[in-house]
Amino acid sequence: MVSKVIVIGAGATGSFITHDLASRGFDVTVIEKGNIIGGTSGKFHGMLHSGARYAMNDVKAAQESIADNKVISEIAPFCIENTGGLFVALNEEDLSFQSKFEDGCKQSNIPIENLSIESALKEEPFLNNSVKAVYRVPDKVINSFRFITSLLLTAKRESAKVLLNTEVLEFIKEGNDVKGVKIKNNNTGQVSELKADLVVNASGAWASKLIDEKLGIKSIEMILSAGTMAVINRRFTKHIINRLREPSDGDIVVPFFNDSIIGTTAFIVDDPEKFDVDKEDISFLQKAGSEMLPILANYPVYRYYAGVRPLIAAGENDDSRKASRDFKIFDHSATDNVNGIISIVGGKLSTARIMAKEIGDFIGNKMGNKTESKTDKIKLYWPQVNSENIDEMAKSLSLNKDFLSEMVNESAGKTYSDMYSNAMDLLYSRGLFN
Amino acid sequence: MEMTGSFTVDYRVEKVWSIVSDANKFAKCLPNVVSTEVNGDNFQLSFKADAKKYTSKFLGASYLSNLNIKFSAQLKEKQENKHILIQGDGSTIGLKFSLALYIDLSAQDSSTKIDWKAEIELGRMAKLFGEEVVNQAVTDVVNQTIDNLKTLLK
Ligand SMILES: Cc1cc2nc3c(=O)[nH]c(=O)nc-3n(C[C@H](O)[C@H](O)[C@H](O)COP(=O)(O)OP(=O)(O)OC[C@H]3O[C@@H](n4cnc5c(N)ncnc54)[C@H](O)[C@@H]3O)c2cc1C
Repeated sequence: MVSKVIVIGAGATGSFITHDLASRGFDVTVIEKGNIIGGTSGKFHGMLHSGARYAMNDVKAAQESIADNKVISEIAPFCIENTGGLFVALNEEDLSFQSKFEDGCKQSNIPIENLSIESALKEEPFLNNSVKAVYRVPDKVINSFRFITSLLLTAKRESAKVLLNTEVLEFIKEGNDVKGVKIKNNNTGQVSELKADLVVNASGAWASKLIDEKLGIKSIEMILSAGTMAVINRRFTKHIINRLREPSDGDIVVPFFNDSIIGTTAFIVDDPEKFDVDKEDISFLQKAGSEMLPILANYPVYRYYAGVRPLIAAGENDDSRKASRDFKIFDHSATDNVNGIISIVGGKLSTARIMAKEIGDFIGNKMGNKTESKTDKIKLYWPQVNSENIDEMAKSLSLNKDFLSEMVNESAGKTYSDMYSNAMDLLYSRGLFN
Repeated sequence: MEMTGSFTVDYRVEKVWSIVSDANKFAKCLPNVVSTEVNGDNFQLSFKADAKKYTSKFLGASYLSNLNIKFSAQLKEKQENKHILIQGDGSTIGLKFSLALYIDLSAQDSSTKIDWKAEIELGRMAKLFGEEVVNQAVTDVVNQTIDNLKTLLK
């Protein structure tokens, strides 16, 4: 009999798990209370990490990042802009990290190139011209809306069910066993029950509170670390610009479509949805960003946003610097004596595939499904509208053919339209509802 | 939490007073100061702290290895060559703390004995990161400040 699995949360983590499990033959339903990228996956820097940022103090994270940087670029090229990244040293202190950075990248198999100042400034004329050292790394920009939409579209083709705007209200429990969930459709208000053999809690920053409140599970010790990003609506570089130093506030500028996203400042919050951003942080970010790209000081910050990372305490005697992973799988039957539910928390969008494979292996073992994960080989589905299939696409999206053709042609004329067409994204995501 | 300490330097009390009673000079005693803004007896500063030791309890928190700490304080209860209170509030990663540092000077011939007491309110910080860990962090910062003060006096 095919095992039924419910996944809570369709962020990068839950969506990749849905695809991974569906491709292994599980009967999967993913439930998301909001829309696509309603959670942290829509409020991040937008980077497909090369791993170089972690090379100095988290080699495992760096190795996983570079490995999946290649895989994601292969299976989902339509959501990647291959910007490349630069690490720039601006003063003596930054320069003191050079050898640590080079060694870390080498150890993590991240290919780096030490550029001459002259050629770096030629490629990126807006870079601070007193820059002292520049390295090129394979950082890329990822459009998470496309990434997650295509994961869900792919999972649907693998027979998964996708319920957006649907919230998990309660768990169905028999004794110590979770047997499914009670859900509410946030559009219609309709409440119903869904049974399953296993529930996977992939609700990110909500994960701890959800199961504590509804099941009394206390084993996920979590604090919420929000990060603010300031956006200037001009793009000044081809590359992502990183400050060469250990990870800290204000160390990155990401060129995203026609914008520059400056990140980030970290602060602790109580609730992933209700918190205030400190206005001082915005001016701090602009200042920090303009140390790398002085021109950023000349433009107003036109928007800012903040995403929330769930930070989980490593186990009792674990030191996270030595822990091999930045995410954790909780088997609540072992930790809380509650069967039928597991949680996965932490990680990065860039390594969502690896997280999904790991939990997929875990579930496969638990439920006697020995199928291996093939997600490193499965190209994600992203329909292309062209003159040959426009009839068919218009029909499947329930749209007028002329209207569809107009939208497609309109966005084709815009810069970076390959990766950032809002109109096309809207169209494709409609495929999730049909 | 409360910390106390005492040390003696081979300088006259007037010289010690000239440092602890001057916001410009005292502000320099905090570790890894990035910026200071002094206005009479008020000062605002931001400094950096290596937090790896403290945040490593959390998976994936490597981006919290360097914390920016904001602190604004006032010099109070000035009694020339005798006593001063440095009192202020600060915050880092959205968590607030407050500090009252009492300094008492006593002249001993050409040297000066400095007795100090720091009262620190840590609020949520202690709850989140663990009392022991945060106390250790604060102890480090206070000790570095006292060390810097000693160095400045030399
Ligand atoms: C400031 C910042 C910058 C970052 N930058 C990068 C970067 O450049 N590159 C990178 O790779 N990573 C980055 N990350 C990390 C990355 O964004 C996250 O690791 C990733 O998005 C987490 O995905 P997730 O699916 O676990 O969580 P989420 O995307 O938050 O998904 C959880 C989902 O669960 C849903 N949910 C919650 N409760 C319920 C319920 N009761 N019923 C149904 N659904 C529910 C939520 O609506 C949400 O959509 C950044 C993180 C932050 C905070």
